[in-house]
Amino acid sequence: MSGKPTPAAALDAILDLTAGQLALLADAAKRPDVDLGGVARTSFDLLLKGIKANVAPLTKDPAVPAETRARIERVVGAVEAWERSTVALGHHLIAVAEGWQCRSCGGDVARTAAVSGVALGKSLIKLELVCAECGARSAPTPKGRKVFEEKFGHLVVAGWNPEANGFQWDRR
Amino acid sequence: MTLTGLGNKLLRRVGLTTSAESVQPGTTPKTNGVEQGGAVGNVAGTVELPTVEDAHLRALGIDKTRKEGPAELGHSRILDVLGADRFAPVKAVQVDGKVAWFNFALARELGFAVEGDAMTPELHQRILQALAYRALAPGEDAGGKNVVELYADRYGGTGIGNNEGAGRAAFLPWGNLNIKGVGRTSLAKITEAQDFHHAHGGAPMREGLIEAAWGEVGSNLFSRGSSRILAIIDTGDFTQWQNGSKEKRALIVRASHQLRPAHVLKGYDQGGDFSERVFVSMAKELGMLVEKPGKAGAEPDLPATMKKLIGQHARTQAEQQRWRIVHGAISTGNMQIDGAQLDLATMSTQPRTADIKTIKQGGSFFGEIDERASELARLYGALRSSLGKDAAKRAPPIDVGAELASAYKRELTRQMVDATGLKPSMGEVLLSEQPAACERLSKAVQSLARMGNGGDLLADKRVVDDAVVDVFNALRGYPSLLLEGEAPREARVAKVLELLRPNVLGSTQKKEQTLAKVQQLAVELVDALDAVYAAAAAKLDGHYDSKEAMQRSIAQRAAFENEPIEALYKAPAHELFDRVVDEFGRTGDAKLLTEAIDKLAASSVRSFEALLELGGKGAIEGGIEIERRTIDGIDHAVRAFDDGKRRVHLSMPLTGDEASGFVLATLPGAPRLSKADVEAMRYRFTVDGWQTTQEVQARLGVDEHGRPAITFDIPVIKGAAGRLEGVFHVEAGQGFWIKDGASNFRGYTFAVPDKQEAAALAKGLAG
Ligand SMILES: [Zn+2]
Repeated sequence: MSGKPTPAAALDAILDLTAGQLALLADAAKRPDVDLGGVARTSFDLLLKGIKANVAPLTKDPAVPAETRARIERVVGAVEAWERSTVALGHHLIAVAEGWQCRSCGGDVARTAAVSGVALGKSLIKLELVCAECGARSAPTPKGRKVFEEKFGHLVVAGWNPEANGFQWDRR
Repeated sequence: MTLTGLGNKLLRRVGLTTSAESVQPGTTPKTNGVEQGGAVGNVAGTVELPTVEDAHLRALGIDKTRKEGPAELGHSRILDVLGADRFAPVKAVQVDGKVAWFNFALARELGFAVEGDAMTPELHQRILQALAYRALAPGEDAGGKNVVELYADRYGGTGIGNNEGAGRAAFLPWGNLNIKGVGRTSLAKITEAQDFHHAHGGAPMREGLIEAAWGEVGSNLFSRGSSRILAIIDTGDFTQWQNGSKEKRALIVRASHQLRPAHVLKGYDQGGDFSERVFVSMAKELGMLVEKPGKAGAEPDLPATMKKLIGQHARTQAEQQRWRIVHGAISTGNMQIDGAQLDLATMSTQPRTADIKTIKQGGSFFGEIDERASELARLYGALRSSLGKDAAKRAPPIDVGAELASAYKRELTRQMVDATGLKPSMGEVLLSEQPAACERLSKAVQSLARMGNGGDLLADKRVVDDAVVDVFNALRGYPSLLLEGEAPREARVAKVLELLRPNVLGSTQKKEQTLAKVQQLAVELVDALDAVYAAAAAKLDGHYDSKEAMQRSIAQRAAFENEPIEALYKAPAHELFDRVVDEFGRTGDAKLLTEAIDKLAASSVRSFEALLELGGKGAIEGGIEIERRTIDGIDHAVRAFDDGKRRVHLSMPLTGDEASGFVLATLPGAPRLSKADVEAMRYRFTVDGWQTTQEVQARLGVDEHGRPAITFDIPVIKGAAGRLEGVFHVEAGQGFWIKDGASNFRGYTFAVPDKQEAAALAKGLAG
């Protein structure tokens, strides 16, 4: 985690990470009560993040040939685009729901979030949290709303399918 | 921190009182137990044993007031309970070896000084000194190593050939610990030609893995619990089979009271002059002795005591049905006298409720009750035979089979009511106030469970899934239908039929007949369940926070508890353990065993009630913290706050500082992180076996000891239960770091208390 990043160190870290994820998958495959597809999704995700984090610093390393640096930039850009388009509600739901309380029962655990009015854009789209205890919906705190806008705002344009990112949606 | 282990609350449920710590001083002289190059014996002769009040210590068979041996564990009570004449001394020498698996939580319960769950060279050495012993051959020199006297217990009954008791196992004087694979004892009479497996004195390592996993799971699932494994120690030995193959051996160190029906017997079905004494002493030790007024004060009521023991076995058998478990090899020695499980190598769960066996000559899922009956009858018969002409008066005949059958019917009803997802406290109310509704439900479940397709039912090398319907899946899924609101009866029946997932074999005509029967029984099941839930709804005060809370609680519990215990189907589980032993043999990597055993145990516990009591607990600001368990250096707990919030709380102690970097000292490889790394750390987790994942952000906080720590708080709802698994990752600045996910997959199985349960737990802490 320290020292100047070098291509060799990045390669080393990526190899470690790959071996680790493969071990994890092999282990999951042995277990009957685990969804291997789900583990594989997480592994792929973490692998991309790891590759990105390790190669991105090399774009500032003059010792790396310019052509390679350009290639790294393209790949890092593609990974980021992928991450932006696939960002999952589940990975930010706890943060969006922080400080929230269900208006109906006072519960503080959100099962999911629901959106409506996609075409209105990120600052007007209706966002509600669904209570895990009673199922009632109510708006998150302003801070929670801000987290939503930060993490998902770029997606809120006409034509977005919120269900693909884990939201409940009334198709409006 | 109080460590309560598994059983206290459950033992209370079966009518035993518990108290924190109240053991009277022993009457036998205290001794250190080990001497350099010498030997010490300390089996008491006939002593009046002080009773151990704490049910958990009683289940472990230890006397905490008498510390013995290098690890200062409590004295082994079995030595006094059975008496010196029921043991053959075994001179044993300490051996070098590698601790292949160690049960940290159990070690703490036994009084072993150990923190966290990390194996250090110092701890490793202490474990070997306390536990690693093998029998000295006649005339063998100990070579200056520690020598200790072990005790092989004498017993009779079925399944032991002409051995006179433990032929390859003996008790340490401390911890009530039995070392399996200690070498051939003087009680071994069987020859290698008769039964090679039981004659050579060694125990296969694979058996240790199976017993270790089942021990933890059995402690969760059975109200009388199970024997448990403390350590598996590799001494480098192999069994050389006659066909040339080699099998890795181990010392398997087993805990629990280990008092068996077989201890009353001599030979196949005879008693001896010791039988009554041993029977009474065992029953007394376990709080099962019934007394009656006699000429000179109270005297043991032998038949009443026997009936009490039968009642406990009925409960265990009913719990086996409820969790879909077959023991497989019930014998006089393969069970503890109070119904606690023992000798777990043939046990199996199953996907449905087929009448499976796990060994050809063993009992079957539905038939095993008959094996239990005949072994208990053998026990009582031996006791009677030892009384001679007094038998008719002091121990009149009991129809053991009939007693067991009627107690079993009662217990089965209790278990089936439990399986609906109702809390046991509510179940008890219904059992006493609405017995007919409860019995009707039990009958409906049993009629469906027993429908078979009549295929090969030997589930030794393969998983057998031949039951016509999956009745526990119906119990599992039906309550969530009720949560969705009122559905007409027809729709409810259709849902149950779908949940039953009928699998019908045979001719077209036979199929039609079977399906018609399934249809009819499904209607009956729906009506029976509706009646039970309605009766519960009318009585919910004092058991649930509200009607909605009750429905959620039922749905969550039913879904959690009725999930099949897939990881313990015998064929795949044994295959896995064989592979692990193989790999361990090649690599010597103890992590392999930890992962296999602990993972399997974590994914197999199903009892919500027992989970609430599993691990340490204590008061925290604004609430309580329960189910404290350390897994791979990460402290886990469930927090219940007075304002109703519930959190699963993870904590990793942090050393170092901002300037030099923070170190996660309890994690493998002790990773070093910057402050920015720590703050960007995230935990990606699942509670549904990785079908879906969530993430939560780290916080810099303090742990239960007030030390700096990285903490994570996962909001959960009351009444929830599940298994948490996850990976930690950091994406910040130039770094990317991920904790070795594989080992973290061991998982944390938790149950979240509702208001009533939290209040009861808080009261327990205060009292
Ligand atoms: Zn609510």
